[in-house]
Amino acid sequence: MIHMADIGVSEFILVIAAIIMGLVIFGLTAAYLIPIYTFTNAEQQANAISQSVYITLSPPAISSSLNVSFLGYIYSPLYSGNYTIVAFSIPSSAVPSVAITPPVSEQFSVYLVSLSTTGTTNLVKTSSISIPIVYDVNGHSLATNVIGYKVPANVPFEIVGNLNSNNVLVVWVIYYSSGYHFRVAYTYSYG
Amino acid sequence: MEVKKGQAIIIIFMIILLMIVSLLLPLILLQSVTKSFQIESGSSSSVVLAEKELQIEEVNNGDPLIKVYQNSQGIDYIKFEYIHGITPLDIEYIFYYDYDKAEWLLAYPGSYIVSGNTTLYLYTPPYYNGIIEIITSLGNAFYLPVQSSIGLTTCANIYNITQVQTITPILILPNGTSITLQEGTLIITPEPNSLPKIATGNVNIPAGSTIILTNGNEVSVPKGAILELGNSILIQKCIESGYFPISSFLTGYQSDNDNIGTIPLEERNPQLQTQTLVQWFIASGNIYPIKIISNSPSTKTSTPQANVAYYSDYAPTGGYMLWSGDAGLIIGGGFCVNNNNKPSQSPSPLNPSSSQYYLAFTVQLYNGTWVTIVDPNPLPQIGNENGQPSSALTLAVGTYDAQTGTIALYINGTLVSEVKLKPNLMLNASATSFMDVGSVYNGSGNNILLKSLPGFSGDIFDAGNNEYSFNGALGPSFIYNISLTSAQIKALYQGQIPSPNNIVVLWSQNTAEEVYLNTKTGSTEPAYYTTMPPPNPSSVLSSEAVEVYNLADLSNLNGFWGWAGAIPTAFAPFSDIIIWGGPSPVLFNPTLIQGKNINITFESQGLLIPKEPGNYIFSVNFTDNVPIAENNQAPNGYANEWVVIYINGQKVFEGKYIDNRLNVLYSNVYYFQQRNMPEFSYDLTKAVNLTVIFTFNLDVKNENNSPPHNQGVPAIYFNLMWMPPGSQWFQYIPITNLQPFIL
Repeated sequence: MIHMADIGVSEFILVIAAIIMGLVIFGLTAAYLIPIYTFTNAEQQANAISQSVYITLSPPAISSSLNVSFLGYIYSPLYSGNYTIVAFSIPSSAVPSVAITPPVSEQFSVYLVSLSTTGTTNLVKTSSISIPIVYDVNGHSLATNVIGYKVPANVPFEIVGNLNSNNVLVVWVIYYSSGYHFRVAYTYSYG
Repeated sequence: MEVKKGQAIIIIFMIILLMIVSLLLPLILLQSVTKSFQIESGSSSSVVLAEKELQIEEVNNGDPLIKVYQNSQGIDYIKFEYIHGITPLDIEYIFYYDYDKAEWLLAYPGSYIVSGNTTLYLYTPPYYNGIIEIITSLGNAFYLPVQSSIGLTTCANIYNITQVQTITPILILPNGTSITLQEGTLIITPEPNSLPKIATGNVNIPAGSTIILTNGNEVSVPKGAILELGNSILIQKCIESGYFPISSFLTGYQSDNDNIGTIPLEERNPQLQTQTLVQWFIASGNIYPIKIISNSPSTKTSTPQANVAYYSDYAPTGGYMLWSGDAGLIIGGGFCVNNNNKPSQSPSPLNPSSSQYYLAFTVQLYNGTWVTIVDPNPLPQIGNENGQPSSALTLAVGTYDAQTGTIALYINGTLVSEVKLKPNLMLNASATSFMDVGSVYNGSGNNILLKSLPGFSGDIFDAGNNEYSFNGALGPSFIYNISLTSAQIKALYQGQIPSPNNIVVLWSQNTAEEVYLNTKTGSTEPAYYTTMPPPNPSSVLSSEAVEVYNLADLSNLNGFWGWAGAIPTAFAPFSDIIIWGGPSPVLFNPTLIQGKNINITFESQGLLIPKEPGNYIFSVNFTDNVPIAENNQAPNGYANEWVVIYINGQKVFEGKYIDNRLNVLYSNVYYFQQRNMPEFSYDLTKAVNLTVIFTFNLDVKNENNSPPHNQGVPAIYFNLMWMPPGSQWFQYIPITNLQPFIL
C-alpha cells in the first residue's frame, strides 16, 4: 500500500509540475510571442489596406474668416470602417522629405461635410483621439503622441485651419488594427 | 513494472501535450479573436487602381469633356460632352465652397450617372465662381473653375491639330497621296463651321480648304480628301467671349512719352481696396528699370526674389502699364533694390542694351508705404515692334485682397509671386490720382522719386517722365473690384471673362472715338455727329479729344488719349497679326495669309440684350475713323472685308468693303441700302440672338495693282455700334449687353 501511495504522489507531483510548466509556457508565449504575432498580423493588414486606399484633397478655399479649408475624401473600396486623419503643416522647404516628416503642432480641425445644398449652422466636428505611436506600413515608427480625427471611409470631410503662405498642409490617413496605428496613405497640398 | 512503464509514458505524453497546448493555446485564442478586415469588393487593388487611372485618362481625353459655365443670370451649370465615345461616368458628389458659411456644400443633391451629352444646373449661389469639385464613385476628384463669362462666342474657320499622340495624323488625297501632318498644322476651310469645333478620328476636309504645314508650306485640298486624325484632336480657333470691335490693332500703343488717362472733370480712379489689374502687353525698346528705395536697411539686391515683399517709402520707378490709383503693374528694363531710403540716391543708369524686362506689381498702403512684388524670371526680347526689340505678347495680372492682405502677381495665367502681408490691410485709395495706362507722371527731370503718384491726366499735350513710363504696345486693360482666384486668372488667359459683374473698368484699347469734350462739364459727343465746326481748340469750352470708352460702364471712368509724341494708334505693327475682340487674342503669322487669296471668317454668336425696349439703329463699321496721332504712320490700307448680320435667324444687313470702297448689299431699312449707308434697324423688346459673320482677306493690292508698299499688313477692323431709343448718336455696345447663349 505504501508503495502504491508513493507512486500516486510522485505522479501527482509530476502532473502539478507539468501544469506549472504549461502555465509558464503559456505566460511566456502570451507575453512575448503574442505581441510580435499581433503586430505582424496588423502590419500585414495595414499593408494590404494601403494598396487600395486613396486620399484626395481639394485646392484650398479661403473663408471670410481667413481660414483655409480643404475638402478631403478617402476612397477605400476594400474597407469601409473608420480611419483617423492627422492634418498638420510643414514648411514648403520640407516637402522633399514629406514622407517622414512628423507632425509638430496641431493646427487643423476636421469636420464632417453636411451633404446638403444649403449647409448647416454648425459643422459636426469629428471625434479626436490621441495616438501614442504611428507606424508606417513597414512597421517603422513615424511619430509619437499625435492627435487624429476619426472619419469614415468613402465620406467627404473638411479640414480647416490656418495655413501660412510658405507652409504646406500634410494629411495622414491612419488605419487602426489590433491595437496599432498605421499610416496607410498620405498627401499634401500647398495653401 | 510493465504497468508502471506504461503509466510513465502516458504521463510524459500528457505533459508534452499539455506544454504544446500551453504554447499553442494563446495563439489559437488570439487567432479566434483577431478581426480580419472586411473584403467588401470583388476587385483586387490592382484592378481598382487600373479602373481609377483609366477614368482619369478618359476624362482628360474629353470622354466626357467637363466644363462649368455661368449664364447671364449668374446660374452655374455643368456640361458633359463626349468627344470620342460614351463611357458612363458615375458621379458620387459635386461640391462647391460657400465662402460665407466656410463650408463645402453639395452643388448637386445626390449622385448622378453621366451616360451621354448632358447639362446639369447646379445649386450654387448666384454668380458663384469658385471651384467646383466632382468626386466619382471610383474616388477620383476633378476640380473645375466656373467659366462665367460675357460677350459672344467668336470662332474662325481656322482649325488647329493638337495633342498628337501615338498615331500621327495623315491627310489622304483622292489620288492616293498621303501627307503626314504635325502638331500645329492649320486648316483653313472656305466656309465657316464646315468642320466640328472639336474632331477626332476621320474627317472629310472640304474642297478648297488650305492646309498650312508647320514648315510654312501650303497644301490646297481637292475634293475627296480625308484627314485621318487617329486619336489626335482638331480644334477650331475661337475667342470664347468676344466683343466688338474685332480688330488687328490697338489704340493703346504707348511710347515712353504718352498715356491714356482720366480727366479732372470726372471721377479719376475707382478708389479700390481689393482689386485685380489685368493687362496684355508687348514691352519694347528701353524702359526704365524697376528701382525700389527700400526702407529696410537689410535689403539690397539686384536679384529679385519670388514671394518677397519689397517695402519702400517711394513709389518704384519703371514702366507703369496700368495704374488704378493705388496699385500698378510695372515693367522695367532691369531691377534693383537700394537700402539707404534716401531720395537723393542716384538711380541705376538706364541700360540701353537691356535685353530683358522685369515685371512687378505694386500697391500703396493706407500709411503711404509701397509694397512691391516681382517676378524673378525676366521676360526676354524675342521680337521686334516698331523698329525696337520687344518681348512676346504677355498677360500680366496683379491681385490684392485687402481682407487677407494677400498680394499676388501672375504671368500668362501662372502665379509667379505671392505674399500674405497681414489681414485687413487697407490701401490709400486716394481720389486724386488719375487712373492711367502707359505713364503715371509727366513731371520733368531726372532722378525723380515720388512718395505718391499723381497719375497723368488724359487729353493734354504733355510727355510722360521716362522714369515712370512704359514703352511698347498695350492690349485690353481690365480692373476688377475683387481679387480673382488663380483658376479665374487661368480662365482669363484662355479667353474667358470671369466674374463679369465685378469688372469696374475695361479699356479694350481698340475702342477709341474722336469726340468733342466739353471742358466745363466733361461731357463728350462724337466728332462725326457734330455738324457745327469744332470750336477753337484754345477755347476753354470745348476741345477735340479721343475717348477710350470704359466698356464695363460707358458713363464712368472713360479714358482720353494724351497728345504728346506717342503712337496711340498702331496699325498692325506686330510680327504676328493679333486679332482682338475679347480678353485674349487670336494670333496668325501674317506671312501665311498676306497677299494670298485665303479668306478668314469669324462667326460671332450670342445674345444682344437691349438697354431698354424700343427701336435701335445699328451702325456697321468697316474702318476705324480715329485720327492718326501726330507721328504715326497711316494704316497700310484695310483688309478686304465682308459682313453678314442676322438677328433671330433673319438677315438684317450685308455689306462689303473691297479696295477701300464700301458697298451695302442689303439693309432691312431700304433707305439705308439705297443710300449705301452701313446701317440697319431693329425693334428690341427683349434679348435676341445675334449672329455676325465677318470675313477678311489680306490679298489687298494698291492702286498700281502691286502688293502693299511697306512692311505693315493691312488693318483688319469690324465694329457694330448701336443708337438706343432717345440717343443722339451711335455708342459702343457695353460688354454686359452681349451675352453667351443661355442653354
